Amino acid sequence: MVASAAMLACVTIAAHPVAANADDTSTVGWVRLAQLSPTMTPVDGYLSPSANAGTQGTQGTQPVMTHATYGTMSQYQPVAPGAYTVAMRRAGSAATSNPLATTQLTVAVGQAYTVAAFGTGTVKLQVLNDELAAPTGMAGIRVIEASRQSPTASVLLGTQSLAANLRSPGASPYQSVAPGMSALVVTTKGATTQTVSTDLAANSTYSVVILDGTEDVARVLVVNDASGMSAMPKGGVSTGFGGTAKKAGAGGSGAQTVPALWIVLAAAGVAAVAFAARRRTR
Amino acid sequence: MRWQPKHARPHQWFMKDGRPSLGRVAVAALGVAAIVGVTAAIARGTTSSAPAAKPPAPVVVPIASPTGDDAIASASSSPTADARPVSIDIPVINVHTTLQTLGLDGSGALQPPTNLTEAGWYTGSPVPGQDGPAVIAGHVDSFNGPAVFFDVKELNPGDRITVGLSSGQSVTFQVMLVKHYPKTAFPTADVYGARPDPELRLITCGGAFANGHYLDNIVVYATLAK
Repeated sequence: MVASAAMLACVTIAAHPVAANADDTSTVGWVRLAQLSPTMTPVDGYLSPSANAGTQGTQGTQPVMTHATYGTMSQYQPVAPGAYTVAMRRAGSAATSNPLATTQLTVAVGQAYTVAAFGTGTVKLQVLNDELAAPTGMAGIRVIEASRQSPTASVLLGTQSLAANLRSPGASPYQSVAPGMSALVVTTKGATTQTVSTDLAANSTYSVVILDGTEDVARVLVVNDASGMSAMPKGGVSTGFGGTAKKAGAGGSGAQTVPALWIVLAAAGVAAVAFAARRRTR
Repeated sequence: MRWQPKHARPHQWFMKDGRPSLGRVAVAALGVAAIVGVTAAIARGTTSSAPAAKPPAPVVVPIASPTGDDAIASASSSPTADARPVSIDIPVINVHTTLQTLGLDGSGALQPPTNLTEAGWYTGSPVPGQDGPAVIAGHVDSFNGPAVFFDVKELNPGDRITVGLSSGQSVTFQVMLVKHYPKTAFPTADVYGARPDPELRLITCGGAFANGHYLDNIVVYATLAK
């Protein structure tokens, strides 16, 4: 009776939901740069807060990636949310020199972005929104088509279509797939088909990047976007026995609950003794 | 011994007509239970609203300035890939301990460390320094005193945490956020969800203590120190 009353109180209070977003659990967003233009010379990639663009503060004077050739991605850079400028400059040139391509993006907390140099001739920087989460136990995967040789590409994972005639340059939406060893079947120009085996971890996300290869066979990269647990634990952890609950005031009013419980136990004890005494004396 | 006459027995509040009254005891127990219930509700109310009371200071994380091939190396080829975390040092709260390994219990929950003075790394999470959230849990206290993660709740944004690896390398993180969650509403996907960069989660208990358990978990979110 006592236990059920206490539990009822807990359940009532705990009923309000907690939002399930990365923006609740982070103070940063993430940006990575990608050189995915087959005609662009090797570049140095810069990421700098837009407010500092004129003043050249410490951020943005150092490249995020240097001498990046076609098919190169930087690691994700955790940055404070806000407005940023991405610039790609000819490899080795000064940080103040005119960029080959530039763009702006607004970084939101808990969100990830890939800023990719796309296209041939006139290179443009395109901002892709990257996903962190897949449904529990699944992997998330998308296709980025950045090939010049093959204007379109189709990709299957096993029998599941990830992209059908995806035009270059461009990116497909993410899809949820079963984790584990899988066969990517990539069909490019002239119905050339190749199979790439890949190991996808559960609770993680990936990008399949289609690039120019040798002859008509595309080069296929599988890039890890976000990495999660191989098995996601359920709920919290029991990591305490209460030895400091009183004096530490780990939740001040919580300490009052303990004496209250003892009163209940004592009352129950008194009652039990009284009954026992009565039985015995009969 | 024979049953004594009424007047020879001491009068008690729970006695009626010379016998212990089930009704009176039950009414008294109900009253106490109501007090306990209200107290527990107040305790929960205060602890679950605590995070909102103290908004974390924003941490400006400067952009890394890796040079040359370091920027291009993918995480999977990182030298820490095959290492295991073996120690954790949090100088600001004087935590210096070795690490055991943790798995999941039969219900799928994270097993707490078996040792009160040692924290543990969840083997289903990334190796600290690899992309994704590495999880290290530790006890806040024993039955009679503080345990290894007693002062974790005192951490503040910017505080440094260093994890030693079996390879001899170490990885240093800095605290982003410290959050308190009721265990009954633990945001599993937030705490354990995938991340694109190397991160660390420290988990211990906190909040009110009732029925032999703490009602809350405290989670420290940290990113790679720059």
